[in-house]
Amino acid sequence: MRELEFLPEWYPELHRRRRLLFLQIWATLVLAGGLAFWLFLVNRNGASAERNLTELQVKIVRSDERLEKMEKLRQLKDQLQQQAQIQAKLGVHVESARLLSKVAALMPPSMSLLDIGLETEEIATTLSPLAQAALKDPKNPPLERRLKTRLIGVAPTDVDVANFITELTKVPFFDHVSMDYIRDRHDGKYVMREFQLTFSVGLSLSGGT
Amino acid sequence: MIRFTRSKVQPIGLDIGHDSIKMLQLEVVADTLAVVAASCLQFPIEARADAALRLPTAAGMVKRMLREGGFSGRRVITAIPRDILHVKNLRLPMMPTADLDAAVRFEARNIFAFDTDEARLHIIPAGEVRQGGDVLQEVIVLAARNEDLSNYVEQLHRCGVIVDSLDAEPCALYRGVDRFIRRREDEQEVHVVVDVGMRRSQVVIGKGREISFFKPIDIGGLHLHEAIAQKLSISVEEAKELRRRLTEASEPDEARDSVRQAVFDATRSVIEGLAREISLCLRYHSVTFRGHRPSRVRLVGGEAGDAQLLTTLNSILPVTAEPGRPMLNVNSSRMKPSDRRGAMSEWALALALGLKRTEGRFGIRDGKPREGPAPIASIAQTVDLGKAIQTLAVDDNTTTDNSGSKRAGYVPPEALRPRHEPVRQAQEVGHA
Repeated sequence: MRELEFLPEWYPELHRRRRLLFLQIWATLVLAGGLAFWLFLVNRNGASAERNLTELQVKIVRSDERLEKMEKLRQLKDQLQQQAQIQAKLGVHVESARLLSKVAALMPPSMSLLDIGLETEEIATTLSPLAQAALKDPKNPPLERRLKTRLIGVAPTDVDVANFITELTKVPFFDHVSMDYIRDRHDGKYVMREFQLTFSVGLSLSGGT
Repeated sequence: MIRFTRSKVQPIGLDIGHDSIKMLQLEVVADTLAVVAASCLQFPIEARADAALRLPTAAGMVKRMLREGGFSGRRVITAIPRDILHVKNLRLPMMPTADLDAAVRFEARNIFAFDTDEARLHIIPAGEVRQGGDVLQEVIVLAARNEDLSNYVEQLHRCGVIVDSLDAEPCALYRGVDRFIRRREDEQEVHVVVDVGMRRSQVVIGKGREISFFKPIDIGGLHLHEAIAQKLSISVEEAKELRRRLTEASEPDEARDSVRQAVFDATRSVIEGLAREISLCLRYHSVTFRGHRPSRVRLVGGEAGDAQLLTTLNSILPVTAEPGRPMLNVNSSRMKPSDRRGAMSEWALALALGLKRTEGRFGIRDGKPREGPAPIASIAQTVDLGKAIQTLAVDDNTTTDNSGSKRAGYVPPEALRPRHEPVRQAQEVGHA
């Protein structure tokens, strides 16, 4: 059977174009929607990144402040280290008056000092080979400085001298307390016991060179 | 239920009639047909009365039917209105099919009242005819002006549908026959389909799968209603309602019988007029195209279920008239019960339009074999060919005027001219 078609030719074309138009509109809408969503995400991520940036900047400011403090501390540490090094080289300063007052405080009332001698002596420190190898400057090994004090005094009896030695030994920073001699001393009609003691005070700082 | 065969839903067949709109959508499952959705809405009275209001009113109705009818998609196949379809018959010398189209286009310039370059033109080769000693080929030329078509499509588009195809009613009606021809012997049978509509009727005759004759007749249900209204002094709407009640009433009733008789008397002359026109169509076809004769006339359309019409046609026509049952081989279980009453002849056009995009042939649902073709002699016994030709010649004399009267006869006037005259013949059988 012969099929007849009276549909105008423009109509299918119009319909095709309409479909195409609708498709394009949908595609545009989808694209615009996608773009809008993408922009939303971009804005959201941007805002999030800005927040993170602000937080980071705050952290950086805080870190800078800490760094400044640390720098000051480091400078102080350097300064102190330098001072410590100088002090290690020079040794601890011990005031003679304070030393004498300490000795005087330890002396029994009946004892008198006739002479006092203060002498600084430097002795090369004996190091193990391992410690020697670890030194920064092996040619200049650390020196141990000591203030060697020599006391000459008189006391009525040996007991007093012994007590005095005992008291000196108790002082923690008096090392190597030793008696050089003790003998009689005649002063007019009085007989006294003359003695000579030596002890040393460490002037080196621990860890100093 | 799981279906293993692939279903193919067809575009909606849209039949915009004089008093109602029918929409029918089919699906093809293997070689069977089933209704997907169907809907029918009556035009309001004012739209029925005024043709200009019909399409604007139809827009809203179609939208409503699409919305509520359960249709799949918006693609529709519809027929162009008979007002804008112009049909002419041409007899041309035998020529190759390739040349026929050009020859018809050339001849069409002189037979249509409008410029055929601005029109859509289609031809249907009707068959070979003998004119004197010559063998000519008759073609049915269908034309519609592009402007009319465009306007119609635009109006349809406003209904919210996508027009998939615009068909011609005769072709669509005959498709309802063509799609169910499966046997080889059926392809030689002559089928007569008479569509009795509200405003007019049309006769389509074809042999096998091809249409060979088409004629519109300006007698329809409206004329019956008018005749009843005039006879009983009632309005046309009341007459329509009365006819409907009488058609539906089956029990004998004395009071009703008198009314029935009055209605019968009122419509008898109109129906007889229709029967005469159909009879002349049959005679013309029998005389023009030799070979098989029709064994029956199938009535389809909204008025086809009228018992009085059938009775009168059977008494006048030389062959049996029976109501066509277009939905017989279609699974119509999804249609509303109110739409499934009777022979469902009113769905013929919508069904045929819905079948346009189908391919192949469809079997009958119950598996029973069809009736065999009618014997050739059956109609030859009832039609006296000599008398028929004589009658046609008389009819022809009344229709050879140049005005192209719609009450034309069935033999082109040129057919009686001497053989040495040009073979160009044209006869208008449609509405200008």
